[in-house]
Amino acid sequence: MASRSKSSPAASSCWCACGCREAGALRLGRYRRRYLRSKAKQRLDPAAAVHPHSRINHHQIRVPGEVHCPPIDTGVTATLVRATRTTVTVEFASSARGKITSEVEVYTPDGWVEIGEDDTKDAPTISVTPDTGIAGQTSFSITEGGVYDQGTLEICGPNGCFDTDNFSGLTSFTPQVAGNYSAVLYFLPDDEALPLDESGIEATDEADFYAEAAPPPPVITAINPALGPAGQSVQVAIAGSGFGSSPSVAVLDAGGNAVPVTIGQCPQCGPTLISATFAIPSIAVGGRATVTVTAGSQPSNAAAFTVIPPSSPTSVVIAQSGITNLPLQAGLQNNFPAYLTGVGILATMLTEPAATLLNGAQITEALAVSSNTCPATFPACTGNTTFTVGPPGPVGTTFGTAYPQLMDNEFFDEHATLSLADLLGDAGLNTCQTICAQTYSCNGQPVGNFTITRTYTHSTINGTPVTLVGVQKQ
Amino acid sequence: MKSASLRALFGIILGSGACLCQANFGEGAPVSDAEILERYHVSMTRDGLAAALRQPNSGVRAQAALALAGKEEKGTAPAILSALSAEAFPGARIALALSAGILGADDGVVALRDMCGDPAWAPGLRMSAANAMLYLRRDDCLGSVLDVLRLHEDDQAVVSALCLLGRFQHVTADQAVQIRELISASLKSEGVTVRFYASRAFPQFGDYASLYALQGALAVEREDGVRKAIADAIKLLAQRLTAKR
Repeated sequence: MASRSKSSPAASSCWCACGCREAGALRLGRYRRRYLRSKAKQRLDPAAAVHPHSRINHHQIRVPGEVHCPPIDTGVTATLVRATRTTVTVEFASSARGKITSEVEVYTPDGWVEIGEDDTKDAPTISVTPDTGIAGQTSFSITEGGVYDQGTLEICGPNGCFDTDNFSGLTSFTPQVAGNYSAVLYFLPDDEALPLDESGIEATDEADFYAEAAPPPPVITAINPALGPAGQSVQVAIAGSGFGSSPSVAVLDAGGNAVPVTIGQCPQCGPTLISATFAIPSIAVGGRATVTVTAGSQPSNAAAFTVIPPSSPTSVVIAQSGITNLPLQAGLQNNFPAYLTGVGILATMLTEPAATLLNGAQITEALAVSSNTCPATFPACTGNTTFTVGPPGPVGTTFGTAYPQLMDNEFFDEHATLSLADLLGDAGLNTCQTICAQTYSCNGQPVGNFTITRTYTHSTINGTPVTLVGVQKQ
Repeated sequence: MKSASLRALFGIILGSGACLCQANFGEGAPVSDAEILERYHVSMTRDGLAAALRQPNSGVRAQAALALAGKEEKGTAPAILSALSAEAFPGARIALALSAGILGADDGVVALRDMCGDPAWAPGLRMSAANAMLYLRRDDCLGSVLDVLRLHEDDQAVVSALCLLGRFQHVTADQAVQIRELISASLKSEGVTVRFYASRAFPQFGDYASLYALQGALAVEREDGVRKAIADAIKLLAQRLTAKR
């Protein structure tokens, strides 16, 4: 009578009689069946099954192709590789995926004796390369191996799982969140010769991979100097963090044209400091250039660098409709009556000649008192702002009042006064006036003279005494 | 003190216990909305700005909306309109409506029209709304501007109105007559700043009779700055009338 012996221990530990199944991986409420992995060339040990004195007629090995568990696949074939008195090696041809159990019998004087079973073929596998990377940066290649069969790829990570049906066998995946990930390929039941578990799902082993958290992106906090003239090379220090060991620096002028950059060496250079030379072309568009540092494929914030145009303004005038009055009421919003004195005007100033693009030009101001009838508690003429001409910008707000879009060759100059106190009321006055002389200069040359007259008038808003500020600029 | 500090004061002074005697003089470039928002740690991304529409500070809400409009985030118009419907502070209401209007939402235009036309609103606020409407290249608030000039309740509002006059594109002959009358009246205002900006507004709308009005004003004006402004206006108006002939 024929006796049975199981095939390899590794395999036998995973399966038993018909209708049962190895322990599947429990995840997401699904039972998954693992393919049994073993060699396609199966070494069988007939010792326990074959009479010790029997000779194995290796010409009469047969593999009936019987499958223990339904459905039955009769298409299994095998060829004899080697036979001795104690071992028989057969090679099974690949056929359907997954576990198929085939009896192997040898002919002995006792008749046909089953000496073992093979239960494997080249099952589909899944692999991921590399197995470690950086979230948001590394593209992991997920590849199906073994006998190709189209299934559903499921990738699970810190934020859950997602499936890709009809997996083509190769894909790439870039996790955006750091953490452990696993890829698995599973198959729904079909007409293949596969023993199925109750859930009817079978799957490859999981391929695990890990995405490390990306280092924080580089940040530029300062550029010194923050401006340079077109047509010259300027050495700048870029301070910040996260620059790493081999950063790159990109500079785009106000027209979006690249400015050549050379990164240099310096004793303190490293993750927080870059020394670079900007070779600003003479045809660079003046105005606000943007500087970006890229480290580890991550770009930094765009920091401003002003390209001074080759031409300088020759004069400054008030733009047409260039006075935006700033009434106190509009700026009060939810703060009234906190502010009892305010505010003034926003002047849009136009540099000339108009036919030349002057964005980026630096205009400095000097202020001096021309006359003052106000008490000492009132602010005097102060200010030494440097204005940068252009670039065009959107509508904004200042002191609660919308101001216009800035156009080419323009800059804003605000003349405002603000106080929590009712300045005139406290001084016992109804009105007073401060006149300031303002001179705009460019490259040390005066390009415009203006008179700024602040007239303070005592008034009331909703019965509350206030000091209103009126500003004339001419 | 620079404008940057002055504007920051607007946002934070209320709870700071700052000295009431302190006065601040702002000269310089205005601080961009982006810089203000950065101070409040608002991300300049679409999502960051949209979230800032719910910030407790009304100034931040207004600036976030304008920043979204500046970035042409058209999909955020409904969120801005929603913020507008919940907004109580007039200055922020104006900015939110303007932002929605820039993004193409008609409801923003309607809201601004209601604001500039609302007689219950302070004239300064009405002129701020009219100013915003003009950034949408719409003349809907011209009537409100004329009302504020006519009522002349608040010098700052009148100055705002005078500054806005030159930005209207479509002025009827009847409205031009009204404008001339109102500018002439403003030339006689007690407010020196009002007289200054009235004289600057004249050249665009004035006729021959306006020349006489300006000359009459010049004869009695004692403020040097205004006298210069009137003299400049007479010169400009004369040139314009001569060119028209």
